[in-house]
Amino acid sequence: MTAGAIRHPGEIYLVVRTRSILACVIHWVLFCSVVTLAVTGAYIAWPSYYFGKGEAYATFTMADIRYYHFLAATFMMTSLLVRFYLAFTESCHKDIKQFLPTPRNIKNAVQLAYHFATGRGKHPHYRFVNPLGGLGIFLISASLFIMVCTGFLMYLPAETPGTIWHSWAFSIAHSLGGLQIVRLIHHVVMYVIIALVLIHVYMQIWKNSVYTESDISSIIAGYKLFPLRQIGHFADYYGIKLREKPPSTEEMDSASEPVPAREPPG
Amino acid sequence: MCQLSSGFSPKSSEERVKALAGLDRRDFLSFCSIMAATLGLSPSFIPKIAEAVEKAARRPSVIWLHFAECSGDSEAFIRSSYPSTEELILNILSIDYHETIMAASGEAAEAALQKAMTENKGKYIAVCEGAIPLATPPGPNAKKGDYLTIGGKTGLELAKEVCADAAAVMCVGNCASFGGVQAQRPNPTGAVGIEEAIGKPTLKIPGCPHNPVNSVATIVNFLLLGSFPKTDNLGRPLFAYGKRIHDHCPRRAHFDAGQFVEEFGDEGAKNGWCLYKMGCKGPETYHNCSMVEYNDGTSWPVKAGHGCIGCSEPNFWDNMSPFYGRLPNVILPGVEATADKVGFTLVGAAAVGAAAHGVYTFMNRKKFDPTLKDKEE
Repeated sequence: MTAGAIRHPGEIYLVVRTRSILACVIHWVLFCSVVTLAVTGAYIAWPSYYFGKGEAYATFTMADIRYYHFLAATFMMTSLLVRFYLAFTESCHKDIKQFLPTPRNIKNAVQLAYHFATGRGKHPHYRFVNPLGGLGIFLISASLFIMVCTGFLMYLPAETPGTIWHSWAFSIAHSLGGLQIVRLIHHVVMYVIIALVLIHVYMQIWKNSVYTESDISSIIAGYKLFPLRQIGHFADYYGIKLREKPPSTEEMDSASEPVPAREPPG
Repeated sequence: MCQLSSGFSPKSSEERVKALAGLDRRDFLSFCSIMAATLGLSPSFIPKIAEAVEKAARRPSVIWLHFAECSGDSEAFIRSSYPSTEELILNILSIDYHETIMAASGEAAEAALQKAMTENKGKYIAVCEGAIPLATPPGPNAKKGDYLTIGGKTGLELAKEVCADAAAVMCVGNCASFGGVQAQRPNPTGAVGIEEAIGKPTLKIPGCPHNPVNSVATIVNFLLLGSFPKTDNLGRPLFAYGKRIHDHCPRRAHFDAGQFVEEFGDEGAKNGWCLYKMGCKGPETYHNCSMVEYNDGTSWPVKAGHGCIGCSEPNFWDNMSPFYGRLPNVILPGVEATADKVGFTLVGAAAVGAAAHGVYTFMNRKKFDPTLKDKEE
């Protein structure tokens, strides 16, 4: 749990593993694929002649961009699927419960939202995902799932009629009101994802700058850094059992030099 | 009995074929090859189709009913020349009752309908054209479905009566298939398609109007194999409604190239580029227009330079409109806005909310975490 303390100018941090490397990689694969999907999707929604100059036999802009759209969709679906699987495994600390909108999570999320909005009340710390963030991730994942479904509904009609995929896609699309409605859902849900991602990124930057929790490094490297002088404060919330009593704030302040880093064992 | 068919009675099937006005063997075979192509059969089926049509022991009896519609499908039907009207009415089908083209009227017409129904009970094909209103009009003595009354009967009663004894019910046109324009919002007459009104599965040949090649090919399929063709989940034959217009569009190359008409009459329109940005609904519409075309393969909307409006899809007046826009509008209680307006509002609200929160928390930053206080001290 505690990977060791590192030295930082003026501050000593406790490094805590919060994510596996795989979970970090998947996050950024998802990010890149969703950005690609949004950009290529924007071209498909509002194609511009600027990219399609020349004779039709020599230009293949729309087809190429649709190809990259489908390619990015494949990456997105795969990483979503792998992440969903990992959420049940030790690799991601069986964190599926942190994302599901259970009554407990919703209650905690409302409390946290109240605190984030007003600054009143106590700030409960969470080692992994906080309930509000978990709810946001749940909404983004659900939106991505809708995008995958509606995307397939628009992709499969080009298959041979009569095949099982074709007839499934057909009956689902028509029970929703036809392909035009599927297209509308696909378009509007993209805006929902953009809005959610905007809030997600804002909240992470905000949290990272207001609280010294280093949320952003936790998604890049998989570690969170906790200032050692507040370790008692955090340890209570994170349920971290400390081997020795951490130095108090007075002790830290009275020390003329920062405490040197502990030598690695062996 | 319809005067058209009773006035002309060739003796044998072969004679029937020969006796056609202006139809020789070559024309007949070319009709058969068109049918084979439409049904997606190999050329080896052409002689079989010819045989099936010629040797049909009995031409299928057809009772053609009109409900709430514009007779556009009948108009399309009688304007086809492969097969020609004469051929259709006299040789391929035995149209025993058709309100638009029969000579009889009034009580004679009613008697003809009753006769056709009793003579071919359980064997005739009921072809329905038009939607059936189910709502009750305001008024003291009004009853359900009174918005459409033919010969003293409501459309619903007539449809139920005729379709009950039919071997099969075939809906031609979008109105009969899915309700058409009169079933769209706000639908004051409560119009629905035939299937919903009579509660019996029907074969649908939607379109506005339908393409007679498809309805005749369906009947040829019936003559050839004794059954109706395989349909999709909505009851449309797969040979005609299995692929989208977009999948076989002659302008598809320009779609893939990214060359689009920006407005009618521009350079792109003159060059025959893709009509996607003009609101063409080809990618959403299952129909074979792009392959068989209308009016004997003369033309069809996209060939003429206008986008597809999706006339073979359910509720196309609601779902496919605006016809010149790519996406339908978002309609929520009390709000009707374009999808982009809704989207920009969503993203804008999120951005404004985040900015407001950022400013507020910066102003009140001491309120937040004890760690922040530590940092400042």
